[in-house]
Amino acid sequence: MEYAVEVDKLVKRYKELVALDHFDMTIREGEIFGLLGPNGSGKTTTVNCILSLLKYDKGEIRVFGREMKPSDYELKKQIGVVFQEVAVFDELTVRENVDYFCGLYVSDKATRKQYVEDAIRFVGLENYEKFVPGKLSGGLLRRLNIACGIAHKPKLIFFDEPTVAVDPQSRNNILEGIMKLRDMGATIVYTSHYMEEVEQICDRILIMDKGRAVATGTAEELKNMTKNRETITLETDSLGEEDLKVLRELPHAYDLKYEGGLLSISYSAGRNNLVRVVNYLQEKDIAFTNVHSKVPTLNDVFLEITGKELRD
Amino acid sequence: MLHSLKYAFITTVKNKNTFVWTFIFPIALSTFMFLSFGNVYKDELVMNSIPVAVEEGVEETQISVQNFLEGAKQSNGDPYFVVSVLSKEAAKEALENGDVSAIVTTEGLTPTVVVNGNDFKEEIVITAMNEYLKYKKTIDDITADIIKNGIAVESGAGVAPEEMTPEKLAEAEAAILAKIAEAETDEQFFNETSLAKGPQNIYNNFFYATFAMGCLFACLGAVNLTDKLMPGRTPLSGRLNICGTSKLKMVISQMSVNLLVVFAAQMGAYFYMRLIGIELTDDILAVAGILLAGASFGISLGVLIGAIPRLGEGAKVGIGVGVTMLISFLADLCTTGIKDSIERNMPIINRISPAALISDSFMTIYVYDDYDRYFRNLITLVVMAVVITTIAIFILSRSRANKMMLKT
Repeated sequence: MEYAVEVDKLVKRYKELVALDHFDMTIREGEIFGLLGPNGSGKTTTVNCILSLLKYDKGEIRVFGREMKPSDYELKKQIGVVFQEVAVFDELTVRENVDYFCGLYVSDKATRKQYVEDAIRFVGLENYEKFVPGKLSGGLLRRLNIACGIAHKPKLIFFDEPTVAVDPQSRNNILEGIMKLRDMGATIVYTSHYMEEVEQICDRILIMDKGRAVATGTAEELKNMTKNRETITLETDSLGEEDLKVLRELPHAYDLKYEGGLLSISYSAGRNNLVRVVNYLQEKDIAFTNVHSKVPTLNDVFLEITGKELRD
Repeated sequence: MLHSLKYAFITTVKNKNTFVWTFIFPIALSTFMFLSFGNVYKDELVMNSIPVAVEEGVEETQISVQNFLEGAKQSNGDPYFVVSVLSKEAAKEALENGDVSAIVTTEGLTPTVVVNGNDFKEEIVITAMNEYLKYKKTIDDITADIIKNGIAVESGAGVAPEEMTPEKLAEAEAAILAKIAEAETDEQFFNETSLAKGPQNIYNNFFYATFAMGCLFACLGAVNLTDKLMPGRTPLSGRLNICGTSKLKMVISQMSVNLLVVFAAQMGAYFYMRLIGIELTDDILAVAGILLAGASFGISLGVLIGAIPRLGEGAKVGIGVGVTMLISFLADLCTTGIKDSIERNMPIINRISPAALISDSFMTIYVYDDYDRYFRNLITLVVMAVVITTIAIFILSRSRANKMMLKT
């Protein structure tokens, strides 16, 4: 297994605060790796340490098998970064910005020209090449920010919360673009506190809390770590004690609540739980409405592991 | 490298702050100063004669004062004073109307001065009359000696002390004055020599200091560019720090472009000042040398300040402005006399103060024609710039943030 990034027992302190506490992480080549955690969990600190922007107190960081050093420019040429905040020159046009940043990695003029055109086309800014950033909308600025980070066709790209304060259409464009980059062979490190996005695009996910890795795996693997696999809720006024007893004894059901006409049954496994409940109610001719089957989210995983909400 | 230079140039010239501070500031400041000094700048050494009224009074005193004042001449031969002999009332009226700057009363043997203000014209009259009184006291002392010891005037009509009468004393005094008058000659026993080989105008110091300030203000642009290269400062600095080009290359590109831009702006200011009539040397190569060295120092200072870790850009700009203002103040930009005072008490400061070195270089080539001193100043500036740049690059190359100031 080839690793794009290996982080071993990383410790970073801000005076008394331990931002990273013996943090471990491995990112495989060619995957979209999600760093998920609430604000202040250490995601950005991790990324900045990997990029050598930030000193750390202990631990080792290797990128493509080599120790990451600030002066290793050959290694840096293989890395691209898209920060949450737009990082471009206000004085340069769209094309000049992309060309400038690409030129810091690619010296051959013809190759650079092609790369710049590819990047501008990739983010769909062909019609805005001569615009300065001040004339672009927020969504277009984000696209420019991405183009500047990926124009040199890096093998490893860090996206640090790229969709914060972005409209839904631009967000979808960004997420689609990231998946396209992965398909083109790049390794993506995606940090976010939006669990839906992470779940949608990431091949593997690491959940962070208080500077530590609390769980790593695919979305399914993470969800399998929780006891709850499905929760069925419905509204009915006609359940007696006998009905509740039968429902509680259905396969995989481990918890049942019935209050104010709202029935909630938790299951530890199984695929036909909803069918069984509905069949029973129909057999008994019990009227019901507003049926929901909810599978666990990453937030549930986080809640179960840490005891708090991901968005706390 | 060419790529970095190209974009460093575009971002620098398109930056509004750079444009204002680099190109507009020296031109605006020199124009403002030129207009403020007005005619004084051009006519500094030639002054209009000051009208003075001598009151009618004791005839001897009146004539003596009148002769003294009318005899005072400026370097171009014009009299310092235009003397009118007026009655007491007429003199008072003339003073009140502003027709004369002072009245000299001659009611007794000792004249007095009446003025109606304290500007420089009145000061000149008072100073002149003080000189007159010193002159007169000398004569009076000699007369007193005559009274005590008697005198043998050259005509042979000696007067013994016991034979001295007021009339004879007055005759003796008149005889002495006559002898002094006879002895007066236009012959110059001492020739005034000056180290200066070119024209001197104290107001030029302000314009020299403007160049110095312009060069030093280049540090603000350099603070900005260096701050962009400090990890942890802004998202842009983050992106520049992880890129595949060495920081040294980026710093040198930015410094080179800044140097070029500041140098061009300062040369533009030089040509502009000459165009509006400010007296500056026409040795363009020497001027270019000073401005290039001065701008190098300013930019290197900015890079060093910009490389200070753990400080925000605002604080760094504050330090840059403070240092620039202090150095400019020491070089007489704000007021005259500081630089001279330093020269008397701590000359080493003038030998290493960049603003003093820049303004001194201008004076050296224009007024003193002393190229040894010019080159010494130039070398001092360049050496300081190289040392400061080396330190700054060392700090920059080792810089990694302890704490991210950017929000990512």
